[in-house]
Amino acid sequence: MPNIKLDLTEIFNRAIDEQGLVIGITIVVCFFVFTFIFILVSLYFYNNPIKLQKTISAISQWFLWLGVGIKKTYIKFDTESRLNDFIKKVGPLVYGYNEVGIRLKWAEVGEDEESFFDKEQLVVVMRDTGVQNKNFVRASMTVISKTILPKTRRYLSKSQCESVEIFIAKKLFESEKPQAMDYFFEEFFNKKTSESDKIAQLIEKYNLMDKAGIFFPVYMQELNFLGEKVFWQKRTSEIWEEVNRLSEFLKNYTNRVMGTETTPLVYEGRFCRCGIVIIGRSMNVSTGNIRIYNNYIRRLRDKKIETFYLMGADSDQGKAFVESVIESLEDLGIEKYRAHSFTAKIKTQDDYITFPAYLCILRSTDIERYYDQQYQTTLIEQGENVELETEPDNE
Amino acid sequence: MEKEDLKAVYENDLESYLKGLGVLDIVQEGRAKCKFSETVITLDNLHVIFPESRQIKFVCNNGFCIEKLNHYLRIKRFGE
Repeated sequence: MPNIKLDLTEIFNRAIDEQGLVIGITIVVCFFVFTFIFILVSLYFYNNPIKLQKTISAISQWFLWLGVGIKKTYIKFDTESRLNDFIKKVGPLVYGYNEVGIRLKWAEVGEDEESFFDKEQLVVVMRDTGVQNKNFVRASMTVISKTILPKTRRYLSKSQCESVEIFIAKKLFESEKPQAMDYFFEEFFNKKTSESDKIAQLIEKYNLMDKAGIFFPVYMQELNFLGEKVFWQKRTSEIWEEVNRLSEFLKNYTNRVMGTETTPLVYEGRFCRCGIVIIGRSMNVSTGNIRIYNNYIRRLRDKKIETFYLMGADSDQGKAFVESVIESLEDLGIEKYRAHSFTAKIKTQDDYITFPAYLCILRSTDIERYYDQQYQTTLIEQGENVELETEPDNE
Repeated sequence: MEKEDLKAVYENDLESYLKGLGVLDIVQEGRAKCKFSETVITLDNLHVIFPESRQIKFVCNNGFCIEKLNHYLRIKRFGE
């Protein structure tokens, strides 16, 4: 260190002596500016590790064009960063979502059979960078299957489960890697939707829900809650039908014309019991009239509705009003789960309008849970590793 | 964010990797079949390798088989 200090001082002194004060000052200023930028960039990447992965992936790709062989680095960081970024985006939208990212690890070449069996891991073959879009699509499909609705999936029908995965994968590729869409459509989306009308219909419903901004925060949320309510129960057509009715209910909500009061806003099933409460009348909001919403929610609570989705305007006044409605319900045995802002799309008589919306989820503190005692006993006797039945898709 | 390992083998290392596991000959001789479609596995169409009942199973890169694999993963979770 002392030598470096001495060298720098010498350089500065010489610059000042030989070229004058201006050059000396320029060097000093450049030194501090670059150091400052370096610190800022380091801090930024420290706080955004996924951005760092993406940057490494981009730089690796530039080197690939220059013929430098760092293909594995590119494949690793490209796959990791895009998938993890998407998982991070979905996480805040769904309470209880299993926000688990991936770390791509290269298998040890020379690993023997015994070690392979002991580790009990699945190994994916990643192809050359020319087909990185295919790598990404295939790896993503596997990761989505492992991370989406981990508790609920065992109760859903095959088409319900697959349609959710295909739809979420579509969202992933749209946002993270549009160039992979062709391969995804060719290999997965088109095949699935053409071979199963049920999947095609469900995806169409999800599209409508997503446009209205309720696919993740309401539908996925309800499915997630469902997985927390029906413990160790076999897949049954009762649950499948319930999920179908829920998706139909939400589809009808998305088709609701603004201002009409004929579309049901409450879903009363056996396992899912939820209500959408639209807090939109400007007269009530501006005058602070919370009574009408308070009474309405109390009536729903009497009907054993467990989850309330309060939707208001995403403005200071709108949020404050929603919060005051929640405060007035303190004695009702419900608690605020989460809130977030999103862009809602609502049908009018002639067209659609979009507006910034605020969604607040309230949940009963006393949730009714369902157990299948006989099945639970079997599980305890056989251990938790018993394979769950894969029933045919015959809803 | 919590992260799960996704184990992968790079295409250029595939032959050596399969050799280490003692299944390269089976694949090169066309005796390895896809678990889900019975398609003959080659070095070009192999997508996933996994252990099952102390046997090595192969899955080809056909979208249908990847979907079958995903369904299979819903039931049996690896590495847990």
